[in-house]
Amino acid sequence: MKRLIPLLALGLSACGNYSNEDLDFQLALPQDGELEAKLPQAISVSDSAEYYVITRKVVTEFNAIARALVGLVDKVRGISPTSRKGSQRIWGPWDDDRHPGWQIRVLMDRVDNPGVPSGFNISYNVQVRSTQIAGAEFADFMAGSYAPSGNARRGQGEQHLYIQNMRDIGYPVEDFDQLVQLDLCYQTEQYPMVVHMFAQNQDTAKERQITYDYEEAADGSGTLYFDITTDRTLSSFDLRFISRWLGSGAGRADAYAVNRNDLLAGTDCWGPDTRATLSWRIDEGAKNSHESSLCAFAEPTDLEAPTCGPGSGQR
Amino acid sequence: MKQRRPLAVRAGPLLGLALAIMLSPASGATQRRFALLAGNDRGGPDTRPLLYASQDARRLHAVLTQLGGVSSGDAELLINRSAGDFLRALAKIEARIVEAQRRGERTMLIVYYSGHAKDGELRLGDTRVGFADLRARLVASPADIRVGIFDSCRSGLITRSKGARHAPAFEIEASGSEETRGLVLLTSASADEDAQESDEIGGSYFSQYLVSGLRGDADRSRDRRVTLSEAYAYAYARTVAETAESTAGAQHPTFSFDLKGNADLVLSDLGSRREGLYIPTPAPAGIYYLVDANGFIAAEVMKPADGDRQIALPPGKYHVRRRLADRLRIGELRVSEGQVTVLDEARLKDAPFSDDPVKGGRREPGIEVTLSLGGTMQAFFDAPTRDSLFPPTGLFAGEVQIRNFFRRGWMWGLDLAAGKASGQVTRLETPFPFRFSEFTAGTTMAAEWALFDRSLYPYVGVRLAYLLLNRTFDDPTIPAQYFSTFSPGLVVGLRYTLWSDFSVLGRGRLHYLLYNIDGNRSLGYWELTAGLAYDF
Repeated sequence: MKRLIPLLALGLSACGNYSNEDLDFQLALPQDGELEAKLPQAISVSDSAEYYVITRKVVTEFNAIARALVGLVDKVRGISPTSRKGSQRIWGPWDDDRHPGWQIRVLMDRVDNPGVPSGFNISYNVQVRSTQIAGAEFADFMAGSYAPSGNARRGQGEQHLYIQNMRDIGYPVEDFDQLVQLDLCYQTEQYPMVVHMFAQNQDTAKERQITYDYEEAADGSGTLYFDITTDRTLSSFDLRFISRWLGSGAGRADAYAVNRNDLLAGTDCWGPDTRATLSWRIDEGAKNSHESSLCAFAEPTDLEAPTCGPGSGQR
Repeated sequence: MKQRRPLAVRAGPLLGLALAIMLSPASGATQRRFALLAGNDRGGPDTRPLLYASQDARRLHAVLTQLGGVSSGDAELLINRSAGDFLRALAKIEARIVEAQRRGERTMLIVYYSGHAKDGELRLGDTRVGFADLRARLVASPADIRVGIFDSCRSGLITRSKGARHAPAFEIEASGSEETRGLVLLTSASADEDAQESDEIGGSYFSQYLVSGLRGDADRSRDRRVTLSEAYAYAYARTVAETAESTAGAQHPTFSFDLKGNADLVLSDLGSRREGLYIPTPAPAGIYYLVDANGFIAAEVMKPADGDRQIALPPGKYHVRRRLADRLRIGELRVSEGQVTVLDEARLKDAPFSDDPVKGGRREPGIEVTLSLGGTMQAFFDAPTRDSLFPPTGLFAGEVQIRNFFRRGWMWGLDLAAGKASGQVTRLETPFPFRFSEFTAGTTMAAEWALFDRSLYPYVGVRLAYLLLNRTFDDPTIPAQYFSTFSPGLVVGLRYTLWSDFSVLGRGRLHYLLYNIDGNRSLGYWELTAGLAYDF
């Protein structure tokens, strides 16, 4: 025992975050901007194509959600784990500055997984608990996982935001309006990279479900599938919006009424300057016969998004 | 050159002295005394470091400020300083002498030097002052009375000059009533002799006996005042006697003067301080050594069989020792402020020579301080650690080494080092380059030995270091990392004196480091250092 005392003293005197293993945990977290859609021409002019303007608006919303999700876990990247237990890292718990009476902690676990090139997955949980209730357990506010590929920066991951769970335990989630749960999955190990978001709102919401699927190719071209499932009242219809663009900025978007047998409701094509090269709406009758020469893309033949995770294909 | 002799042999006749010069500061106008005292243990190329020169200067400084009528503000003590410092200090004192004279004060200047001398020059480290130049400076000095005391080899050269008288003992016919003016020179050795210092007495013979004499043992007239001639006569007799059978031969102090006027020249006034030691007549005759709390001989007293002795000592605790043929008589006494302690023979006890309280203590060389600067290469033994965690690093290192601080032969070091390196950690076949930086602070305790005439100093010891290790990744999304910890280790070093105060050093360290971030891992690393050192 006496021989251990000097070692113990040295151990207690040592401190820091100097760790190679921590890198695996930090690299598992998506970076700011990594999951965002990249629209080549992030501009609009007074006569930009209408569907281009809608595409840009949806991309902005998509990116805002992606940033918010990444931001929830990004803070732990910059600080040392509070404790390390084998393959687990724990940050916190800390008092929630925005919501007195609540504590937050982040758990990250490295789990062996022979089925992936890296041989392991990283799972993480952002949890909260009330300090006002004796013995209150931590509940998941967010859960995520990441399976790196052979490259530390490339892999597949998913995140889930459990807003209704938070409502149920009384955690303030007023910022999330009528959201019940938000699911996100992504794969960045090869092109086309894919990011899928699925938002489930409360039954009282007019827009019950919103789905974003984003594909990004190596040449800068991209596709955004945007679906809104509504309350299906007479005045509303479910919308599927498929927008595609080239690295040059030229693109095409098609809108479908899903609960009208996927009826094509409109098409806009635009050039690199975002101005419409073709614009057609269902009430205009037959489409322009020169569509193929005016548009960067042909009409979609497959309306299903090559997506991942929960909510895929839900309409 | 001044030589060390490990053991003095007491022999030789005690020279009779005739008191002649009686120059008293108390007579006539007020006399203000100034003193410049320099001690240099090092004398530059072709000399070996002395052990006690600086201590000699300190002891004479203490006597002059305690008993010699020199106020501490008028005494300048230079330890291991250069010739330039010496001459500047002399000029500064001379300027103050001129100011004092303008106020009508009579002045005396005492210049003392203990250290090496060679080829007609005082050696102050790597710098020099010629005997002739210094003598001319003293001749021209504005002080009414100038007393030069030189404890160095062949210091008698400075007394060889036209007009000066030179004798082992001296006598001046006192005549007239004019105020005394002129120059007096005392040297520890003649022009062709080495001055010697001794481990036995913990100083140079001449300075040690001069100090003992000024503390009262030279007061043959029993008037509680020690004149210059009394002090010289005492120091001369004891020095010649103690060095007579040394391998270096007898050392003969010299005296020369060029004085006009007549007054008592009293160097120490024992009545100015009441504290001291009184050895009554019934006490056994012999030489009593008074050893201070630092282990240095504060004074020696030659107690005659038919008389008493009193010497002035500053307050403090002293060991007293008297050597008999087959044993020692030792004891302790305390001199209290304003009181004279009477030695009680009954309180001394017999002790074997091995219990000599002087041993060790008074042989201690003074504290030495060395600053070293160098380059250090550091690397961990464990290859994976070296490759991806803490890369091999070059550091710029500095260390202050303090010798003989805790005990003789021990070196205490305080060091700082900083360095940078580049490294790379690979995760999932993805390289992440980083820039590594390190700061260390450490303290070393080592045993050191002086070999080959104190030119080679190997040392072995232990070290405790504090390390602050940082790395910043080229990938800006990865936060900077740091690790700090204490690390114990072993040190082996070698210092070789190149010339005078400069030396080269080589040092190796082996350290243990407990890394506890990614689990507990016991790691070891080595350091090799090469550098230059300067002795202050």
